Amino acid sequence: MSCEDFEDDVVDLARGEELGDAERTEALAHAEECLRCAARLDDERAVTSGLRAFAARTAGAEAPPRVEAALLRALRDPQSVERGGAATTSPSRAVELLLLAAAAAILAAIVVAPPRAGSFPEPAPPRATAGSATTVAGGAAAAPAAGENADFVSLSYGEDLRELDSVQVVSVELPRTALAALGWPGADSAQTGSVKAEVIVGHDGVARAIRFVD
Amino acid sequence: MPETVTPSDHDLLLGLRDGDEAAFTALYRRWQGPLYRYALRVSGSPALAEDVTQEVFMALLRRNEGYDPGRGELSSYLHGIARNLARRRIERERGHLPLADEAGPDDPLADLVRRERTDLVWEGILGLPLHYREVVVLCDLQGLSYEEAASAVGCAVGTVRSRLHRGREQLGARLRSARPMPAAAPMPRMTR
Repeated sequence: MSCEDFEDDVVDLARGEELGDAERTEALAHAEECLRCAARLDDERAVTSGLRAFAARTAGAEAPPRVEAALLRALRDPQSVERGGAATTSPSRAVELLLLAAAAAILAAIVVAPPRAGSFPEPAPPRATAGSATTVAGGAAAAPAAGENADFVSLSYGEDLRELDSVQVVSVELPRTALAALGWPGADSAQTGSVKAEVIVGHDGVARAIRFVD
Repeated sequence: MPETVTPSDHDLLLGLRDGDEAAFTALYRRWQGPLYRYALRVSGSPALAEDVTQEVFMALLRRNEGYDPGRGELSSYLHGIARNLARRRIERERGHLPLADEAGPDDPLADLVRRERTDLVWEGILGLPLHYREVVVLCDLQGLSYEEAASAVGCAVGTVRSRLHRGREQLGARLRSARPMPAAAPMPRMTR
């Protein structure tokens, strides 16, 4: 066996799979005679051993129980499956989407009201936050109102917006699919177009509350 | 005493087509672990892995008929869906994937991920180009054969072999540059 042939087999040899007995024997015999190929085999074996140890350490990782529960809800409501709506969105994914929306809002800066303190409408209690996304996807919850008189809906638990030193109200347009991804009541991922909203953004740039204006 | 027969994936899929919740639950419990681990290992993000796992089964609910047993094992089919979903998210959110640090302090999985993310092997895997990383994860961590991985990725077996070769080569180089490699098992002496 040449060094080139050995190189073709070295991964299979180190993985201990996919190589016939005769080829394996021939490759091992070559490694015993060739220092360079023996070192190459040692390297590949070390990679195999590192990967196997890592696989063993992460072998117990499983999806959290809320995923199964959400899927069973979807199974019982075939229409939601047809619509393609996600049964749940992981909490950090929902937060991430909100932050992305806020970042997009700041960058777009379509309309920026002058900073003001404590003059915005008092937000309603949290109704569609990351943690509650799983409960609204089935459409059981009533959709929040939209329009000029709609309440702002807090995007985080346990924070009193009146305590913020300064905020900005930013007008944004979000794709309707983003609402479904957030688990917004009544939102449908199959919907197209966009929806206008106002986002209360703190001085740190983080979105604190949102309301839809159409 | 009657012998307990474990239903095959195919039987469970047929049950699922009839809306059998027990069949879906059995199928989910059989495959959620491997699919979750695939997405987690390839992305390093528990949030992405959770979303991908859910979306794979949502896809199965929507288009159960899409699986053709004649074209390969269910494992390949499901890994293929997971691979496409994970790839789309990884490419879209490059550099912005939520990692375990965003999870709660009492989440044991987050603890595991935080610990493992400091592991050079995982860092090395996550540093590989995505097309190499997918194949290393599928073959070396998920235990798929070359044929199964080729079916999941949608390429030829030769391509899988070549990507695995290159991916492992790059991983080995990263590990060697970061620390002394762990001692490999002694090479067995072969007798003819």
